[in-house]
Amino acid sequence: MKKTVNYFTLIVMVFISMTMQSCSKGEAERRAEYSQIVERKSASDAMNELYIAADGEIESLARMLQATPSVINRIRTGETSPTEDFEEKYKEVLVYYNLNDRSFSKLQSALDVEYDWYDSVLNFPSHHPVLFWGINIILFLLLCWYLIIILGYIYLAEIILFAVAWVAMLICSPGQMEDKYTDSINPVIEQKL
Amino acid sequence: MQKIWIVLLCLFYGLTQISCQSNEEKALRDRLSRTEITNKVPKYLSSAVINEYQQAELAINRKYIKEVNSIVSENFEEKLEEFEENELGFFVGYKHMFKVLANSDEELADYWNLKTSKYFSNQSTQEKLHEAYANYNSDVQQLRNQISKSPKCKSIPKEVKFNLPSQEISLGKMNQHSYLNIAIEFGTDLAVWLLIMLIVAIISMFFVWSGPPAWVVTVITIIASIGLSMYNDNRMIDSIREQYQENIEIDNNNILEELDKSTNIFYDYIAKH
Repeated sequence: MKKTVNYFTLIVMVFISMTMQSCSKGEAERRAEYSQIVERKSASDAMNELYIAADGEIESLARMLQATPSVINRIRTGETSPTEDFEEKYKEVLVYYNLNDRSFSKLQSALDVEYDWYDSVLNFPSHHPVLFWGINIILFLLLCWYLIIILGYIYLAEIILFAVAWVAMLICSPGQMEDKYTDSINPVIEQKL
Repeated sequence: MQKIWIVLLCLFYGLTQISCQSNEEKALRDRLSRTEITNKVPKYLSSAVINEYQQAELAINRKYIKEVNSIVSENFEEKLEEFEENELGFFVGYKHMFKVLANSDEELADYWNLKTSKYFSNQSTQEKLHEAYANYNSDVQQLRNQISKSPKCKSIPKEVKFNLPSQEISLGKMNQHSYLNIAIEFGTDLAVWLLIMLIVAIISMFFVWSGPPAWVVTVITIIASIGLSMYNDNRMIDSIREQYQENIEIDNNNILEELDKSTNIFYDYIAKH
């Protein structure tokens, strides 16, 4: 079983390296440009952009920035201002978010400790659309032309994997985050204006 | 029919008893949590008592400094442990293998820089130091409130902002680590099969032996690949540890001097009034 998984993964990886290696054209300029744009944003604007990106998942954003929801809310509403180090940190996160198709789940994949294997599975089609649909279409064509029945099992395994991941996501959703700074500010990362 | 009603009644009574009990427990917990510690402040204090309190506070000062030292000295290892827990291992290993193949060098550099600032910044250290100071402040105030109601009880030196130097940690080697993991995943199979074939060929020159069953080879492969992956992870951890420079020095003596000075001023004031 492990060998089958390994060889399938090898095929997938070769496919990735063939399709994705040529994507970095002009990336350095793009990064420099985005960094400048983000740098010019005010502290609360930058935090608001991350807040909108999180789309209600403020606890996830807090975990990524190693802060708490109340700290994020105070900074984004301008009630407090971030320390220099913290501002630099979340602006770096914002640049990464902008460079990665403005996808919050990609940001979660990179930084959220609660982003688990089932999230990786469920988000795989959106994070790697070329790879996912490319492989599935090739498998489908092989199945149709050569009637290789075993390929049907791969589809079945894929469906089962997604179903298991979905159930795991429902069962293992992270518990509520402890917020120690609802009544007082966290002087390490924010300061009164 | 009658029996069913009796059973249902018993069940209902049992449920109400359980819920009553839990309500009582809840009420008790509430009462206990509302209990406020009120100290009767003595009107006259002998110098011996004042001295005892002063010594207790000086001990709290030393405890705080010791805690600061331990936070600063042990923090890197804690960060490393957190990094190991979240970024090395089976599933994450596969994720990084895909990542190094699917992303360009620049994208990977961004990705690892983000991880570096997440795991190896001084933010968590500063937060722990702040928490230690908050605990110190609360301990000293509680102690002082036992013998005085003076507003001077609150005159405790302000929190010292420790200027911790940022650690220049690079996770660039994670790319090499992930490539090596790919080689381990696929190379181990091949290497073990070739090795087994070689051993079988040598042994069968002297004895009649067709080789071990396939499942044995598979088990050997799995064990070998797990062992090599763990070795690779440990190498990565060691390479990060090598980058860490233990150059964080905090002027503890000055801080302790300030705290002791404040303590002595307060107890001198108490002795005079």
